[in-house]
Amino acid sequence: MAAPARAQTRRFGNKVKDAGLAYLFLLPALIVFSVFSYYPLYRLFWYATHTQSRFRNKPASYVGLNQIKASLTSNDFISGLTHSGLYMLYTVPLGLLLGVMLAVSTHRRLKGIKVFQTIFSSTVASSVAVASVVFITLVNPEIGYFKNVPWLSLRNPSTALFAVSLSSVWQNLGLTFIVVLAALQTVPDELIEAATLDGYGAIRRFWRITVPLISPALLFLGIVLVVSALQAFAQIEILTGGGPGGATETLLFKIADPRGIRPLGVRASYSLGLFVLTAVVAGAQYSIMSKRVHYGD
Amino acid sequence: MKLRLFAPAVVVSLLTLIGASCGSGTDSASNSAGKNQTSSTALEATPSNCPVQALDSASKPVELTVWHPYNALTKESLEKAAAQYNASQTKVHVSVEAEGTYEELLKKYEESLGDPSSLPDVVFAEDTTLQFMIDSGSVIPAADCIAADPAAGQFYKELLPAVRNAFSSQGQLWPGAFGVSMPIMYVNNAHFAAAGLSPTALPTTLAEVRTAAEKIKAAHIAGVEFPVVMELYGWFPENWLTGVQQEIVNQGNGHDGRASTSEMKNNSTTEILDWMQGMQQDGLLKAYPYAAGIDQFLAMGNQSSSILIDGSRAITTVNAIVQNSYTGDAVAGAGSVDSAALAGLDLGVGLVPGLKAAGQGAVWGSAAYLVAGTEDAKIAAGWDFIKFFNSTPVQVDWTLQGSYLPVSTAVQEDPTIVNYFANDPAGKWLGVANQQLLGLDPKFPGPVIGPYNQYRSGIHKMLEGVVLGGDDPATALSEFNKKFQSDLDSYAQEVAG
Amino acid sequence: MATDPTVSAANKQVRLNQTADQIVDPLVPAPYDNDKAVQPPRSGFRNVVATTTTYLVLTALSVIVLFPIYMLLLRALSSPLKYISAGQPLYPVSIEWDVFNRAFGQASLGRSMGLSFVVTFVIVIAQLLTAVLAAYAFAFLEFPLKKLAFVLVIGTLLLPIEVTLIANVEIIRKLHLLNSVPGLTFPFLATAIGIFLIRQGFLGIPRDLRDASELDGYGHLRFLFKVAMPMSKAIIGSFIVIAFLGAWNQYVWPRFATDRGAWQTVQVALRTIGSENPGELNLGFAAAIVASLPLLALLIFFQRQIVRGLTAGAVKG
Repeated sequence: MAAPARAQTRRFGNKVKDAGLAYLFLLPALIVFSVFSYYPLYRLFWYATHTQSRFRNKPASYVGLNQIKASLTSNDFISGLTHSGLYMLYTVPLGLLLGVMLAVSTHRRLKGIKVFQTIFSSTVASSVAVASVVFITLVNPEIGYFKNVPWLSLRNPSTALFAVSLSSVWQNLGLTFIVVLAALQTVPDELIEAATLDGYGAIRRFWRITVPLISPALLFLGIVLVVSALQAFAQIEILTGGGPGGATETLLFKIADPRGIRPLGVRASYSLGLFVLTAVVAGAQYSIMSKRVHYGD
Repeated sequence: MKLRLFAPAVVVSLLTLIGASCGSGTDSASNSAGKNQTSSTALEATPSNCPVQALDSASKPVELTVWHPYNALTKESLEKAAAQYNASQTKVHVSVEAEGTYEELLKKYEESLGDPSSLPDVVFAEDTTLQFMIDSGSVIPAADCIAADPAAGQFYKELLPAVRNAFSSQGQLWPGAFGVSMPIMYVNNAHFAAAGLSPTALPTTLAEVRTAAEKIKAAHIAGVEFPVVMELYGWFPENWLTGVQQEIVNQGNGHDGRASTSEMKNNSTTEILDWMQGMQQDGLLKAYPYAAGIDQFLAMGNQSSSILIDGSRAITTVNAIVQNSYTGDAVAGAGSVDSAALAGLDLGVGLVPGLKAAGQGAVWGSAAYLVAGTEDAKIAAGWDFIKFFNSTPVQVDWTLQGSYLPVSTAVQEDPTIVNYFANDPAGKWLGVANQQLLGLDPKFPGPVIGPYNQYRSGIHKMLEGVVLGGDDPATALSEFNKKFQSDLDSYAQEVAG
Repeated sequence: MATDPTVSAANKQVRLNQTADQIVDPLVPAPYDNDKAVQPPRSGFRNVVATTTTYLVLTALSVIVLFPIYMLLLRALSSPLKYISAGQPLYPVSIEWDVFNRAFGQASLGRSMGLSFVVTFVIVIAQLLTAVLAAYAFAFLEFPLKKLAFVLVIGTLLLPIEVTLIANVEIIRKLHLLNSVPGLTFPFLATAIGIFLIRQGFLGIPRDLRDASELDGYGHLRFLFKVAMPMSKAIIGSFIVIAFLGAWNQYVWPRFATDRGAWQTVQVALRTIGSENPGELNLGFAAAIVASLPLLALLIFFQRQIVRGLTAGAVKG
């Protein structure tokens, strides 16, 4: 339908007329972002380049980049980084694997399959704090059901982090299940049928056809799980308080510093480190996803 | 598209980096530093710091805020005292706020220093925060108030010397009210009998504890997993070291002036670490990482352990659980515990074993500081509340319900207390802790350390690494000592401003 | 020739009804469309064996997934010390039916739940408002520095609350907003993800609809409320649900933006409920159950929206 050309300027797409309204509409969000995202970033740099005595009634003094350098090369920071990295290692592959397993097992037409689907997605209703309390009943050294299982011991510095990470794995089951199942449902029937007719076995069908087609979802999930591992705090505070011997102190835990043992400048330096880490992960996600946008069409 | 993501990150980071580094600028107004801390003679009191008369001229009721780190029955006792105080007069209205654990309270206090309007008026803080409180310049020493208000002096004249010295620096008493406890040893009498150990001749040294534990283990008592249980809490090594008069820091263990050097690297510390590691590795000890929790009590409660070393403050709670009387009478709606679950639990209490003898150690606990606010009326009100808190009836309840030990002779001799120690099941236990308190050497109080949270965190890490992680004690101690010394050095710089 | 406004309005309504169903965000799949599921084998006996095996496997997996929840329920109802001394069996010991009552009474669970609700509602409504407005600007308006504004929004994805935590705590402290609803909500009044989601929904509105409404004299606000938002109902609904999920489950920010017991949201309160007294451990477990109920309700009644919201961006339709 052809609209007659109008003599006056169009309402949509008019740069000058729209500008006022646009800025007005954007203002609330941009104010929030400026005050609570960008200004804090500036403050982080400020705190990291100054030392503030614990006696806050004394003034802060400028120390340049030395504090940042010293903090980011300290054993404390490296151990935090290591623990965060281990947490990712424990939660991401296992989480993806279990999610795929659960999704594949319910991706079929059977009576009552919806019940199983609801059960498997139920952990999405759990928060980190709830998942941690749930795991107290399982791994707490005195009252946990599995307290005597050696590789789940919260009192052993080499196994404590793994035991804590299982609470995240369990909690993430719902999310990974839902996303992988949705992805499975986008795999066209015809492809599967054609492959079956061509003599592809179930396993070959899975690896050659299904997995590549759901790989964008898997990548997306992987990134989400990595980011969520970087944000691990509640489960550590509730299950171990950072112990034993600091074996479960991830980077964020050290930044949050619930016991007040690290100076603000050091914590700000660590925050900048976390910022870089987050940027790297986000960058990886973006570059992978933007490739994928054109893939498979 | 790719650039879009990195661009903001890079641009923003660069801008802020340049912006922040190009200027220093101060962030908050400076304030007066703490008192001069180099002389070792007693300091003179300054009564003018404490305007105790200001309350008389107050025109309307003064709102008083008190912060504390207590929970359970101790919290209830403090709240009861506050309610009684409010009911007894109209010039001051006090509200009591629980601030979590000792560390969380200290952290909150530190952060409030930057915004003095958010400070409380009275704060109950843990004992070793003494140096920090002094250096913060935010509290008034009790000594000044006592000099300004001689009528209040009676309580302080009757204060046990060990308590006074524990909370004094350079001869000046800083906090005005106290909550004193001691470590104590809880034993399972039935297990002792089954192992052929005498319930009246309890172990007095760490070595004897080991012997007892070995006997209990050899007796193969049903249900017993680890004869000894304790939390890896820094308090215990500090007590053992103070008990053999081993200094933890210089300057008279921090009482003659601000401590600047660590003395932790010594034979006694090594002995403690070796003992704990050996016990754990030989299956005689179940050690819990420090978490301010109750796991160790559960171990005694379900009788999987026979000996517990912990604080006397838990006595009322433990006893109530055992006697099935913890219905929380003072608290509406509290749950009750069925003692059938604890059938046959027969607990006894003994003096805490030490490196060389039992019952040695330091005065520990918490104490109340009067905050140097801007309103004289509030300072006077705070002092008034502290005086009320120190009155004998309140102190008696502080012992009966709060499980703290009586700190003045007036309370020690109060008939209720005497009767309690002699006849009440929980009282008899607390009486043992009381004997321990009375037997302390007042001339050697525990350490006073500036960077308290860091020090304890380091000790806990060392203990957990050595005991639970099997680290070499000598190496762990060296590392801890190095870190502690550097914390002390940083602290000295912080105070200098 | 100008069309009669009433007629065109009626036509518009008809078109709205038609197209709303057809507008499907290309990135959001229809959830749980079992017509595309794998078909089971057809022959009789193999069918039975395969089906039974599948059911067995599914049941086993369900038990594993549900076991932790079962333990939570078990421990919430059982008397703590008695349960321990009974050797921690798999069945309840000495059930205390009043544990939920006591959690509400003693542990002030009602107060923390109430605070969580207030904070969540404020955040969700604010995020919806700011996202809709900003998304509209990005989707339908042209203005100078549009690219810069977009970059600024994307940039916040690099600055989650975990990174800016300590700085934001200081800001809130300086504003004297610790222990307050504003303090708990201000950093979250706008979110980039919301802006992107809703912008996507807006971009899906067909061009000719925009042109038609423009011809009919619709101003921006009218277009927003009468056309754009109704047509993006699905995405907006999903966003609301996901935003609720996120706000309700927050732990790190409420933990450090408050330091008084009375201001603990339910997630933060879970850390300490029941941990003081060995005889009251089950209060903490009961509280965890109560804290999950709102989300369970969401999961049951808004399953589609949750799935849509979670899979947006992940799966191509």
